[in-house]
Parts: sequence; C-alpha cells; structure tokens
Amino acid sequence: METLNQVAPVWIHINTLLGGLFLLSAIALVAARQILAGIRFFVLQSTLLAGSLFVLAIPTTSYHLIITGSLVLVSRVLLIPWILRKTLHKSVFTRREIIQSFNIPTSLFFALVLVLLSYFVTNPLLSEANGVFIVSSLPTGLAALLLGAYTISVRREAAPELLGILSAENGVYFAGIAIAGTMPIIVEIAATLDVVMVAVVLGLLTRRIHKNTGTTSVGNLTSLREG
Amino acid sequence: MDLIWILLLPLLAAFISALPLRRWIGPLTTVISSVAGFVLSIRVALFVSQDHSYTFIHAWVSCDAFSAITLVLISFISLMVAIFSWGYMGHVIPADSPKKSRLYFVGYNLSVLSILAVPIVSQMAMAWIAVALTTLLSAFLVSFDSTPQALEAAWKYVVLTSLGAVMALFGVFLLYWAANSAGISEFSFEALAKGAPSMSPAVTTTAFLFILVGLGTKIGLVPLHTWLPDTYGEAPIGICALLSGAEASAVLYFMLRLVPVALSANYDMGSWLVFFGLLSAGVAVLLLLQARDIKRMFAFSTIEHMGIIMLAVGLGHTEADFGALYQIIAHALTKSFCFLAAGLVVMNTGSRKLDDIRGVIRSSPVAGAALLVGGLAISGIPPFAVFTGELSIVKAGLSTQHYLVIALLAVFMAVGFYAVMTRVNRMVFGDPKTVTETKLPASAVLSLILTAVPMVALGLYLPSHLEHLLQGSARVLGGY
Repeated sequence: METLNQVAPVWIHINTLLGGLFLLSAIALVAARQILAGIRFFVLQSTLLAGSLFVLAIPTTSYHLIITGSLVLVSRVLLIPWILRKTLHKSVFTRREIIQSFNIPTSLFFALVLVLLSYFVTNPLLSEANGVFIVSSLPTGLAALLLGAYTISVRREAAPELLGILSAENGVYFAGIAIAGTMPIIVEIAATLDVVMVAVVLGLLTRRIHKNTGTTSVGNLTSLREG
Repeated sequence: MDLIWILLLPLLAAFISALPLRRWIGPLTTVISSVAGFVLSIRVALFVSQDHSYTFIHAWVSCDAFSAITLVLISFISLMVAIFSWGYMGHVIPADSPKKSRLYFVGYNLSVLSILAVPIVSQMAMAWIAVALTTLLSAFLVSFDSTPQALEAAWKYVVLTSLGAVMALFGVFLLYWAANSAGISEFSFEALAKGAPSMSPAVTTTAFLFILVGLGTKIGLVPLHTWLPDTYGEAPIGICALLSGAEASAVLYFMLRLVPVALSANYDMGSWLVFFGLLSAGVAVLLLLQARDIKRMFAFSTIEHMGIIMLAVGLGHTEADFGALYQIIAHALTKSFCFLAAGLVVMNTGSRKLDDIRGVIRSSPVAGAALLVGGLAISGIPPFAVFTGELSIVKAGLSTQHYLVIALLAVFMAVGFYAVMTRVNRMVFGDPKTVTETKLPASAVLSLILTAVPMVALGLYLPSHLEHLLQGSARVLGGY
C-alpha cells in the first residue's frame, strides 16, 4: 500500500468521518436497552465498516479491498443479522430492559475511558505508520474491540454478550484491514466464515439455554462454584 | 499428501458417523480413522526426524520438528479418547437414542479435525482460524448433557475463548503489518521467526501481548481461567481428556511458535511469561486445595501445568525450552490418562463429588488402581514422565540463576502434590459408603492401558527419534 501516502485528502476525511460514526455505533451498543436496537446498531456498525473498506479501495484502486468490503457486506450486514433473528427466541426481542452491572451513564463513562486508552496504547505505534488511513483506523478499531470486551463483561444476558463479540470482531477488522490490507484473500474468506460460525454457534446456544431454563440470563452461575 | 489425508480422515469419519446406520458404525469409523491418522502422523514425524521438513504447500501447509511432535501427540490422544468414548458413551447414552450417539461422534471428529489443523497449517493467520475453530466445533460437545449447567458452561467457554480469539486476531493483524513493513513476504511461523530482528519492536511487542492475552484465555492462564473449571466440570469426560490433552497442547504450540519472535523484539517479554506462569501455577494450587469435584480438581491441575510450561518458556534458555516441550508431552498424556481414569471412577460410583467417592479400590480395583496411578503421575512422582519434565525445568531455572522463581515454583508443586494426593488417597483407599459393582466397558479400560504405556515409558527412556525431534523443536523455540 505504498500509494496510500499520496491519497487525496478528501478520502482521508471521509474515512475519518466513517471511523467516528463507527465508534459512535460501538458506544451505542454499550448503552442499548433493547436487543432489537442492539442488532440495528450492529448492522449500522457493519455497514460503516464496509463503507470504510470501499473508501480505502477507491484511491488505491484495489480490487482486493472491494472483495473484502463485499464479504463484510454479505456476511455482517445481511447474513449475521438474519441468523440472529432466526435463532434467537421471539421473547428475547420483546424484553424491554437489558440487565447491566452498572447503570448506563456509568457505562458510558467507562466507554469514554476505554476510547482514550486505545488512543494512548496505539500512539507509540503510529510513528511506524506508512499509510495515512492507519492514523485514524488503528485507534478506532482498538476502541471498538475494547468496547465489545467491556460489553461482554458487564452484560448478564446471552444476546447482548453475543453482540459484544461481533462488535469487537468488527473493530478488529476496522483496524486490521487498514494495517494489513494485503492479507491473502483466502484468509479473509476463512475469517468471514469464522465470524459467521460464531454467530451460528452462539445463536443456537442461546436458543437452547432459553428452551431449557426459560431465561437467557447467563451471569448467575451459582451452581458452578467451589463448595 | 500425508498431511492432507490426516485432515481428510476425520472429515470422512464425521460424515459416516452422521449417517443413520447401526449404532456401532459411528464409533468404529472414528477409531479406524484415528488409527490411520496416528500411523500417518508417525510417518510424517519419522520423515521430519531426519532433519527434513515436510512441505505440502510452501509456507502454507508444512511440518517441522515442533509441528510433527505436536501432531503425533494430538493424534495419539484423539485415538485414545475415541477408543474410550466407544465404551463410555455406550454406557452413558441410553440404547434407545442412537441420534445422540451420532451427534457425539460427528462433533468429536469435527473437533479433532480443527485441533489437528493447528500444527499442520503453517501460515499464521490460517493457523489462527484453526485455533478459533477448535472452540466453535467443540462447543456442542461441552453442552452435550444439555443440563442448564452444561449449557451455561458451554456459553462461558465459547464467549470467553472467542473474545480471546478476537483479541489474538488483532495481534495477528499487527504482526502481519510489522512483517509486511519489514519486507517479509511470507506469513509463516518460520519466516516470522527468521525475520523477527528486522521487524518493528514496538508493533511486534504489542502484537504478542494481544496474542498472549487472547490465547492465554484459551489455555486458562490466570486471571483468564474462570471458564476452564466450569467447562471441564460439565463436559463429557472423554471431551475433558481431549480439551486438556490435545486442544490445550495445540494452542500452546501456536503461542510458543511466536515466543522467539517476541523475545527478539523485546527480551523483557520473557519475564512476563515467567510472571504469568508463576501466577497461574500459584493460583491453581490454591484452587486445588478447595476442589470438591474430581473433574474440576483435574481442571485446576491443568491450569497449574500450563503455568509451569509458560514459566519454562519465559526463562529463554535452550535447556528450559527442552523441558517445556517435554512437559507439554508429559502433561498431555498424563492428564488425558487422569480424565479417562476419572471416567471409570465416575462410572463406578455414579458421582463426581469427592465426598461421595470413597474406597474405589474395593468396589472396582481397576478404576481405583488407574486413579492412583494417574494421581501419582500428574503430581510428579518418579519414574513418570511429568517428574522428568519438571525436574529438567527446575534444573534449567537453577542453572540460569532464577533462584526465587524456582523456589516459588517448588513450593507450588509441593502444595499441588499435597492437594492432589490427599484427595486421591481418600478416593482410592477411604471407607466406601456402599460397594457398587459396575461392569466397566472393555474399550475404556483398553484406552487407559494404552495411554499408560508412553506415560510411564517416557519417564524411563527417551527414544532417539523423539529426542532428535525435541532438540529440533527446542531450536525452533530458540529462534533457529
């Protein structure tokens, strides 16, 4: 990606804007109160990811990135939301409140801390950056990864934890394609199959947990402790 | 071509097991394909032990000394678990539900496929995908019993280890970036280790930290170990042996291949490995002291041994690397044996609570003797293989003047020994509440005897081919 240094500034601005929106949708997932809203934020986030890949593809005229972007579009924007709607039980969608360890303003405060942290962590790496897109995409992607991990650790129900993993994976892709866009295409196809399988396996598990216990709460494993 | 056959065989076996045929066909096909896979992997290993490297597609599908050892180890353990599962699952699954038995063997073959792929695939990003698949394909085996506890354990297993895999993927992307910027065109483990000195230290160090945290979750390094006892506690006992013996070894293989890359970028990374290894071993023996369930007890012991291996690698010394590799083999064989023995005990007593298991030696001499041998072997009594491995790690630590680390490690090993042996002693020799006679399936007993052979033999004698492969692997860990 040597040509990235001579990119017209307009593409850089567009990519930075998409990155900002991408980050906002990751934060919205932390705060979402309903599963349906959560899935919509995930779709929005995936669309922004695909958009960023296409923006990277245009100035570098890289067919490789266009294929990657299309893969993201098909798997994350269309297929995974469809899988989630099919596998999750209907009552999961009608529930209004999602139980959370902290209240939402506290969570948003922690989200802000994580975003600052990821800029702090990636700052020493940016001096190595040979492409202008990396400067904004690397910290944005890492922030989304950390926000996804945070969502998993504070949510106590299956479906939001599932969305947390998928959102974290989106974040890794957002950063990953900017820094390693020339990864062989077969690897990207395999990685896409992997993330679809994550959605299928966790969706089916959620369904079976709901069938066997009547809830999708997974945070109170009191039976699996010592003593 | 052998390497491709090793991967095709379990796929074929999974397909045949899925067909609605007679019930014994699934386990029989699984055992036959595992035997064939084991023979093929021995062939690959013998070829590699003559200082060749076995290449099918350059920088994508190939085997060197380290991968060959891991491959033989995984295929041996999966063969043993296949033999064990035949009798054990026949005992556990009622005769009128052939569908459940089919599901088990399909899932079993697919998990084995993903675990075998880890050492065979030498392109790093593809190997990461194999590691991520090991979780996804074994998830339904963990939740096989379909109790609320088993489902929750499977949930924890998939969510935490998948999150770990996502973290590791970030590390993989960073490494690719570092390699690409340094002009390394191949993304294989070997090319990375050789080109490591020209890669950016900052990016490589950050990448390794993400991979360490991500895959550390998968092998249960403290503080990311919380899912491990739950998963091992609830999974069918054959699957515990597979996860602890084969899957954990495969993930360790992936991490250890990157250690020379990390050490060349930043020599202090070794101290982090020592720290996390020591922490894991220490916390695990404290948890061992509170264990009240036979499967969870062996799960904590797995965390302890993962810690010991990490510590040994962190010492950054050829002798310690040799000990770590030896310990991977010794632990995988011994821990599989322990879980299989625990399977016989649970079959005999009908409970996995330590308080309910008493005097097994009287109600079933075979199960009692197996548990006693397993307990002695895993706590590091000579002449078993674990003792030899631990001894060489301690010796390497002392010769590199890590006195404090080795002193702490010795204390943890002693506490672990005490915790395991007092419990095993009570289970084997205590006063039985009721003496129950159970007929143990012949295949389960056979698998135990076969697993015991290398577990004991390796403690006494190291075949020259294996020693050669171990030295080759230690060179890989030292960065060639």
